[in-house]
Amino acid sequence: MLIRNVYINGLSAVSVQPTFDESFLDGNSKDPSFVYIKGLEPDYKQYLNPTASRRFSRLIKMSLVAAQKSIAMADGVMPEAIITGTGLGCLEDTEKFLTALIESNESMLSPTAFIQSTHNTISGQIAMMINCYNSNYTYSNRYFSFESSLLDGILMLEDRSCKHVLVNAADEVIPSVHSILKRMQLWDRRECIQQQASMPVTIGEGAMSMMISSEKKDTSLAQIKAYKLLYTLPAESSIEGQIKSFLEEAALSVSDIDVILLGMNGDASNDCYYTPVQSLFTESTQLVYKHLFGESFTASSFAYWLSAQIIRTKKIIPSCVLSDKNRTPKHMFVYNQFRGKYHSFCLLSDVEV
Amino acid sequence: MSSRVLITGIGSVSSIGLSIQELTDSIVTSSSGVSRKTRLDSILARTLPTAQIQLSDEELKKRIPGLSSKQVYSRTALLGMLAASEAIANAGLAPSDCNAAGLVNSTSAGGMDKGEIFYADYLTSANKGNLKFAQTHDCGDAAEQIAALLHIEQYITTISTACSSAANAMIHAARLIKAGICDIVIAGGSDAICKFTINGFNSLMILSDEDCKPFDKNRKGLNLGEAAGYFVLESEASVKRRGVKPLAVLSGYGNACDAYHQTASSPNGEGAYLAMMQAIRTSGFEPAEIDYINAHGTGTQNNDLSESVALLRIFTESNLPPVSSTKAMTGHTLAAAGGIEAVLSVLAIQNGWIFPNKNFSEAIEETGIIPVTELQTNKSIKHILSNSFGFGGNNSSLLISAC
Repeated sequence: MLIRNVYINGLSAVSVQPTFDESFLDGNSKDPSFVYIKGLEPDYKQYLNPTASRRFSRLIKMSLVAAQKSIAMADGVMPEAIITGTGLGCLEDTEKFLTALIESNESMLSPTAFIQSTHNTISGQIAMMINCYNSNYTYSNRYFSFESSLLDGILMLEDRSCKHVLVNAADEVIPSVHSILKRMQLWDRRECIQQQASMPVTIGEGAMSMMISSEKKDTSLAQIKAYKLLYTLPAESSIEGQIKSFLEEAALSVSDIDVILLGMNGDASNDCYYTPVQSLFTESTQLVYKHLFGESFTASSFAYWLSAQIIRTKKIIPSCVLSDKNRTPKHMFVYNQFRGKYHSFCLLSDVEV
Repeated sequence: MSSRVLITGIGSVSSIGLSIQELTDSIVTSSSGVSRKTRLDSILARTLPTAQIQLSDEELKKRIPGLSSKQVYSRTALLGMLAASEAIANAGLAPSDCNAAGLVNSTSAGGMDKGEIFYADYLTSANKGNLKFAQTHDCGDAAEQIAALLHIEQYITTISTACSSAANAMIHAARLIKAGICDIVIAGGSDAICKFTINGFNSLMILSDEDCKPFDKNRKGLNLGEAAGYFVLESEASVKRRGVKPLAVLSGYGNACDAYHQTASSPNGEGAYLAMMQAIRTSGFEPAEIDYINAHGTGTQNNDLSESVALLRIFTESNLPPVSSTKAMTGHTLAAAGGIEAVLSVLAIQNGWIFPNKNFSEAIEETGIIPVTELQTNKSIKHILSNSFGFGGNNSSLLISAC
């Protein structure tokens, strides 16, 4: 869909890279070469009250600080909707309650872990943190978890029922789920993104928070000009054709795109779907990020953090480059998919004066 | 942007009927699905009343043509597939309509029924546990299974906002239609009962050891149930193109957050109040035009009081339309509750019904609301407010109207 007025006015991420302090943008990065990549958690004492900190799982804490910072960046505005996407939800608390249930044979269970295990805990806790009585949603649908959240947020701004929507993504890794995912041969293939042979993609985690608004500000980081989700490609259509018509709707052509950011994850059975897209954008700088951020159902949310920052700073991050065409990032095309399904297209552009 | 969102198909599976016809028959006799019969292998389910669908997964699977015998399906997915198939058949959708349709599913437990079997084995050794079970664990799995069965290709997603999930699925679907992203959306919710949820609700001490008594002074808690309720929602242009007659209109919707407590509702029912007000406001109708309120009414101390307070803030005692909770018949079916109750709302409009709030005898002292206790027939029902309130302060309200 073509979008009239959607600006990114607040943005924050806790990820496996130093994104929360934004030093990642200055070239500071972490080598993600351990078992699985753990989010770099900030010193929560600065942001959350200690009672809450003790009670909450890492995922809730990461989400709360990301939301807090993103709201602050948007001048503390009260969002008219809070929407969170999470693929697997609050795993730590789910596992805690499930283990207790199995080991105690359904007796004497404490409710705390159950209370915090539901997927909507994150959006609910953000609302409680800022006393927000407005709309509150949680999406959990694999590789559309964050994407549906963003779509719904955009729809709320475009139908003018909201002026500010806080869109979040959150997923955590716990050791058992990491071992199960490895058995499934998912997200940890130890294959490599092309030309980044030293950087295998593994499983990542973190929280991303973005305040999107219909109001343009001097401090707006970027604007979202077009957005499209496609679960599967319609018969007799090609990904190239879909992308071309997506850009045409925004009165742009492939050559107008300065930078593309692709969700390649080192899995050959997944990355082959990016090949035609790489061949389509021959004049654009091509970037990848999952070798640094890891893969998860909401890993694509970091592509939005990254592209909005790249548009704001006009600086390409060298460790993300697949091929550089030395173009100033004015229009960016963000593309993610999983093994030929869950296609998401986003056109992010610099804020027009 | 302002075109109406029409309901053209409904489908449901619950403890009081495996189809709309069976559900209708149960309503006529005011039957309840709450019992002490359990299919679920759980100590708690043997001691507490629940509203289970008394068919095994294998029996459910046999009712859905086209499923692979090798594939493991979560019970949530099976229930969802049954009800969603009924909804598209009811709407008369052609395969090409489905290809271009969206699916907005919702669930809270997802494939936890299979996940907990997997995890019990996994706990004995990290190499154990059938991965096919683990693969159905996440919320998105059921949506993918429904999409595969019904050949939905355009868009799929899943909402997980606890007990308001299905209502929120319908709201997202309405926005997709109004924005012109989809002409047709299949939306609804499904939740199978599993050990995780029954133990979770039990740890919160909100399960009743008797049949639940929504809005009764002496209510002791809720009875968990399982169900699926699905809709075909359509734009006016699509209804016209297909030449079909809509069943009802989704005329208003509201979603608000109670922002009070992760699992408890606020004493003044703020979230519930805001959700209902928003649903009424977006519909353009007046509170006085509402003919019936299908309450969330779980039978817990906390919900029923908070919801009653919110109702009286909007309607005042003398103007309160007939209210009832249908959960004494269906049990509290969590993510599916908003779906099955919206299905009931459509049936109420079609048949001129107001549903009984079973097991009620004495009003809550603070609010004095007396719900409808017997099935009322031959009523003129044009507008129904259907409430779904959940954990995390997720409160939603739908306004369903006659065409």
